[in-house]
Amino acid sequence: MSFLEWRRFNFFDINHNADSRKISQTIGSSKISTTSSGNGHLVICDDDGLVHLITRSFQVTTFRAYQLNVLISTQLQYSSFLITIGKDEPDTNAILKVWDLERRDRQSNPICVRSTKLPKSEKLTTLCAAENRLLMAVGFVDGCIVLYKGDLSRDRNSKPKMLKELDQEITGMGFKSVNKDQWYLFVSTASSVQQFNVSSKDSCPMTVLDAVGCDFKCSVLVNGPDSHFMIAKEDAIYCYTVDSRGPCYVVGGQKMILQWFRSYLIIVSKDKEKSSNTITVSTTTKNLDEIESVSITVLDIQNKFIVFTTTIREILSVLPEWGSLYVLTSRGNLSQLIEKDLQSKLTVLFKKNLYDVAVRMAKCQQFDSQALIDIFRQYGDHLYAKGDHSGAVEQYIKTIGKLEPSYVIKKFLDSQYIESLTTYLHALHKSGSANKDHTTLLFNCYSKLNSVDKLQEFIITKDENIDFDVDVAIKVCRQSSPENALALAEKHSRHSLYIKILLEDCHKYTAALDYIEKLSIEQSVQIIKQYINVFIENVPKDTVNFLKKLCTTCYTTANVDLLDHSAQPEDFIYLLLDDSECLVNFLDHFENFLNKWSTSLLNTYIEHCLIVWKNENNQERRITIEKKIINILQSVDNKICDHYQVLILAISFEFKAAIVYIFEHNKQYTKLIRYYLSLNDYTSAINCCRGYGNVEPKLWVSIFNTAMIDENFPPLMLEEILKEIERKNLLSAHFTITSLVKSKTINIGHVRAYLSSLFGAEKKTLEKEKETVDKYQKDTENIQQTIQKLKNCAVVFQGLRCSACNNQLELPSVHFMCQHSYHQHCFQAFSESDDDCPACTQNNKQIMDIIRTQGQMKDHNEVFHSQLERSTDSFSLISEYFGRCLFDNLTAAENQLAKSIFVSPELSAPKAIVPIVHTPPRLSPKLAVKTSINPFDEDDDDDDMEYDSNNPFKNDYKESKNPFKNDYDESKNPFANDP
Amino acid sequence: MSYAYLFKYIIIGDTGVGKSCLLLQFTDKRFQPVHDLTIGVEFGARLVSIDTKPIKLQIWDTAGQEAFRSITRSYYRGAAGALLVYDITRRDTFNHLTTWLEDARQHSNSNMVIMLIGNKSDLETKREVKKEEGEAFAREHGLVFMETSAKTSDNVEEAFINTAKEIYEKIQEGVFDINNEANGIKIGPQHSTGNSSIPGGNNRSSGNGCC
Repeated sequence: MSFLEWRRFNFFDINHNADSRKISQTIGSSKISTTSSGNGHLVICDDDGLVHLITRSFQVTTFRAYQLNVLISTQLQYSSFLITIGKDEPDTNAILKVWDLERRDRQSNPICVRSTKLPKSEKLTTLCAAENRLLMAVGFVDGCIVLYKGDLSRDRNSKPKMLKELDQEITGMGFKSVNKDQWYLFVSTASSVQQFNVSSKDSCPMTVLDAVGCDFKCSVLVNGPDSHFMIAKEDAIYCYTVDSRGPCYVVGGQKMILQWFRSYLIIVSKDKEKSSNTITVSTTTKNLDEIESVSITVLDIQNKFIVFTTTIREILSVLPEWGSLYVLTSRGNLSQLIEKDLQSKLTVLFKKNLYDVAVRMAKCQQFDSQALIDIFRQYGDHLYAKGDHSGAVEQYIKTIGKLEPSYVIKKFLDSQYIESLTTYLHALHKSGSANKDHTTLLFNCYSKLNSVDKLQEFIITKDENIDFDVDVAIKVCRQSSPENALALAEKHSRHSLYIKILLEDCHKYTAALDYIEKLSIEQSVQIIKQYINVFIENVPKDTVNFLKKLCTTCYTTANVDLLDHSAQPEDFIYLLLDDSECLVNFLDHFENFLNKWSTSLLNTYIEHCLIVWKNENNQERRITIEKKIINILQSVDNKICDHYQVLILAISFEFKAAIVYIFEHNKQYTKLIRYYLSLNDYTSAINCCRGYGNVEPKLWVSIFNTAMIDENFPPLMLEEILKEIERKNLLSAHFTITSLVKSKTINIGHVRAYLSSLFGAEKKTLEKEKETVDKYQKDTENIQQTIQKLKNCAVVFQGLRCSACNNQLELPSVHFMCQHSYHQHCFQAFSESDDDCPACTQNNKQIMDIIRTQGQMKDHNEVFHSQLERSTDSFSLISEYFGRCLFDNLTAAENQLAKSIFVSPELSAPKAIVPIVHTPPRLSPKLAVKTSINPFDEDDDDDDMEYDSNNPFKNDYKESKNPFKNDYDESKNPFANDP
Repeated sequence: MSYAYLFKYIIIGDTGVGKSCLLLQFTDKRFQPVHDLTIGVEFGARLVSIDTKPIKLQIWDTAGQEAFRSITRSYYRGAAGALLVYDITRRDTFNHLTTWLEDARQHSNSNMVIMLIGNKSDLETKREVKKEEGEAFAREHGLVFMETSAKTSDNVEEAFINTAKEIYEKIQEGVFDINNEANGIKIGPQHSTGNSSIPGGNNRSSGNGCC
């Protein structure tokens, strides 16, 4: 009955006669007493004392272990030790032997590494050894257990421990380790299950786990971390953990053998129907009727189904080895149970449409994910075909990540499956493998389903790991419900999109501004720039206020890095260009940071201030603005404020204050005056002149010029102007008067004072000049007289003292025309040359030098020309050159002079009063020259000399009137006369 | 995995009321919509913390079918707590509670804490048993009552933990003899006073028999 509850499959193939009857041949007539398997061998012991080792290829190795028989054996799973208990002689204690199957003696028999006589003579029932090779236990019929501790391959003389708590036949034993050195021995009797803690050295405390027991061979210890000790009862299989009962599996039938293989429990039991009335406790005795109806069942505990069941006669033991299961009958027939590969198992399951089982099984066996996905897909397909769409979707969801989503989506595209599709897409997003199209589709699904709540849930409450293309999602959301799109955008910090939706779909401008305000400066700048037009259009005031706040940061922040990203007011002014008042208002906000403004910003600001100013009708406010602008101009430093630009603006707006300020500030007074005059603001112009006339006298001239031309110029002011011009001597009177004459508006009355003062001054000058002229004329006359005297009168040398030593003059003495007389010896001592008067030499030399240099100058024509070109007053230059005797032939004059000198000494010598005239002939000409050059020298020498014929001076004077021609003639003449 | 106490639980109730699902939800925190019939007794364990003390819960999930009753009865004995489960969408499961309760009282320790659980509270639309009825039944029989949903995990944790608390309180009050493992309570390894198994307890349990 309860058997029917287990699902049945056939996952094993049976191979009867797996050994080609080798075992039965080997054993022959002997009876198999005990079997074991492990470490690559099947171990079959017979009652003849022989042990048969069977390899995988069914090579049989036989060796004699005991003389009499082998009672029991166990092969360690993972080591080469085989433990046997048998008898060499009857009626003695059995002997326990440990064989090392890897070490062989000469006859290639395994070496017995240990041989111990058991301490008890009672019949033993069970033998078990721990995998760590340190623990071994033997159970006896009387309930006694002999426990061996220590390396079981060594024969130590340590006494085995006797556990005598039980008084019933031991039917099963198993060693289990909980931790590394915590070992427990599970023991089952026919009516109880208990465990012994065998870790401690001295005592082995026993814990009773249950008051049910099992038969011989009907217990098994399942290895593994979650292992149990299992016992088979007629109604069920009970499991025990270390400290308590575990689960139980209801499997009916009288169990004969319990075995564990991989994750399968193998149960050999008598068929219920046939054995229901013959329940026997004994397992060793085998009733023929019962034997015939023995069945073997393989149970998959994990998945809870029977994976194989068959009936085999006379099952003696079930041996797991080499990856499959061997069933040995008492006659020595060996059948192999081969587990089918997973694929064929799955095929079986698929055929029965047991996909969930398939999945569970595949998972258990660590099937690769691709294959699992395939199962899910098949399962999904199956459910889909059956019409269970939601179920199918559930399966398809498990394929996400591997299976192409379009495969699934295609199936559910029909509108009636839209809910399933939504579920799938949702899962797809959750797994993060959704692409843009999927997002779009999902959102469309939501909107089609009218499940706004779900959509919202998806958008807002979804956990962070759901990954989807937010931009697409927002886009889709926008079409159905902007609110969701907003929420989405906000959540994912798509600020730009958020604002866009807010503006375009919701038209909530102030809200948008509020949102932007919350963002970082960088972001808000970016976004506001993007949408500023919309804002300005709709909520100009709020926008301006927002911008004020935003831009303030760019001035207040100390962080230089931020400056690049922060909002500069100039970025936004273009928006407000149409609304000057707004712009001015905006920029007013930053007045405190004027020094940080850029030039262009300042210009714009001023420009718009001017616009506002111009449009303003209220006089008071106009004045305020005026003051403000001027204040800015005054306060801002020149680098920022481009005065020329401002000037242009000011001029175009006729903003006087600024223009005046700029001109004044830049000291462009002329321009300032010109500006005043152009405005016909004569008073200001005059005031300006008064103020800056001292610095720049030309101002007066320019105002004068204007006054002359401008008909409106108030003539009254002219007086002052003229006065200043006169005082500062800025214009020639002639020019002034000429200008005045030209003026049409000015009457004589206006200039009377000027004229009178001018004329008065002129008169004075004239008189002064006249006096000078008179004086010069007199001087000239005097000189001429002197010359005449020198020429025509004798000179009387009356010097009594020597000019050199100041002693009484004695003969011989030398006299000069210059009235200096010397002792001859004094003269010789003082004089450098014989011709010159030592006292006058110095003076004469200087004069001669001047003449000479002037003479040299005249040869430098180029210099003259260049000077002429450069000179502003060519006339005075030319006259200067005239003054330098440019056109005199100096050398000629000199030569002429020399000539006359040569003549004169002879003439003068006799005229000398001095009795003895020793004057050398060359001496006198010098004197003549001297007088001619030094006309002011009052020489009253009246010596008559014969100068007439050759008088160079006379001719010279005449020649001055016609210098060019006569000069040359005259110069030739002297040479002609030269002897 | 040290614990102060180990409590043994048993889950009982009609077949299909969601006993295995409750266990799965509690131990593995997952829900399996298609669950195979429990054949025999299943087993689960989880460590919880009560009053800052780590307590290990060992839970036997029994098969609900009448056919297995004889086997499952043997598990009543060593349990300190029982979750008696019915399905709020199936009145018959509620009606069978009396039988289950009698069974449990008869085969278990008299101090066993029994919690009445109305499962599948997520299926409100299919509800057949009112919550008040459950409460009334619990009041009448001195049980703790709770409605849970193994599917949504609603109240699942609470059901197990509240039971554990109740047991813990009883221990504090001295109602339970903690040294007698037949009560379904075991002192953790580090709390153990080194008492080995008591022969008397052994005898007693043997005397009780399993069937």
